[in-house]
Amino acid sequence: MKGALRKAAGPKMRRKARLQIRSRDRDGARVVYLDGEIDAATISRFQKRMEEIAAGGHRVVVNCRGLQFANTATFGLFYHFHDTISRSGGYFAICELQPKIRDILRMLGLEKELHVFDDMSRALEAAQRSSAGRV
Amino acid sequence: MGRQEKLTLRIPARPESLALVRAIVTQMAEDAGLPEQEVGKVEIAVDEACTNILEHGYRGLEVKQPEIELQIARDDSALRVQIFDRARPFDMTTYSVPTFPDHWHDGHTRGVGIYLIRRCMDEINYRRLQDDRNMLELVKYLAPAAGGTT
Repeated sequence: MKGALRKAAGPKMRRKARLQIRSRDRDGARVVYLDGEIDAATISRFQKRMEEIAAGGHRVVVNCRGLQFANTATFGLFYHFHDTISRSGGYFAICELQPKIRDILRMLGLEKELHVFDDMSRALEAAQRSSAGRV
Repeated sequence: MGRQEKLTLRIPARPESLALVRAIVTQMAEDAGLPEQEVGKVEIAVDEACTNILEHGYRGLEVKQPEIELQIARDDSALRVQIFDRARPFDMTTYSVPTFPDHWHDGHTRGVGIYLIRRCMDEINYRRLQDDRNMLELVKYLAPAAGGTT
């Protein structure tokens, strides 16, 4: 256990939950890049930023490649934004999830409820098709 | 008797403590030889359990310095995470599980943490201790190592 503690005492142990949220327009959609961790310390910032983005855009693609951890409230918000944006005639997708996060999405019965893509180009194509009424 | 290891960690019951808990628990789960996705399950289960304590258990209670204590132990057969707190009692083993996707369709965005803990861990035990602490034990079984003793 001392070995484990020594290893954990390195960069991991000094780790503080951090979350970077960047967004930019691409191919007619607002792409949101998540980098870091969403937990009880960071989820309010995630929710607030997503609400701003959802209010200003009809097509939103969330790229989760840099998302290292997401608590269950994150998945609830994914569904909330999917539902809100879809009801207003928009499109919401998430893509490039880490396997462990996709696993949780599946356990929570959300994989079939949300638009989930392995790569961002597919997500953007689907977002474009949605505007043409083909999704 | 095989190798036994144990670590005790005491943290302030604050959201900012959770990253440290996850870092240590995932390190120990990796060292125990769990596959990556099982490590992820232990990580989110422990995070959700601690989040429930600080967001619900201690809410409204007048405790001077609310804390959470974790005892993480590993032997040949399992990784055991015992979580102690002085919050109000809550036995999550009696919690009724939500139904999916109805839960989401009904507009809920929360309330699935306990369900997920039960899905992610192999065993869950709860006890209200005589010193008025709660003890929640989350257990993940370890697969026997190839070529190990029987």
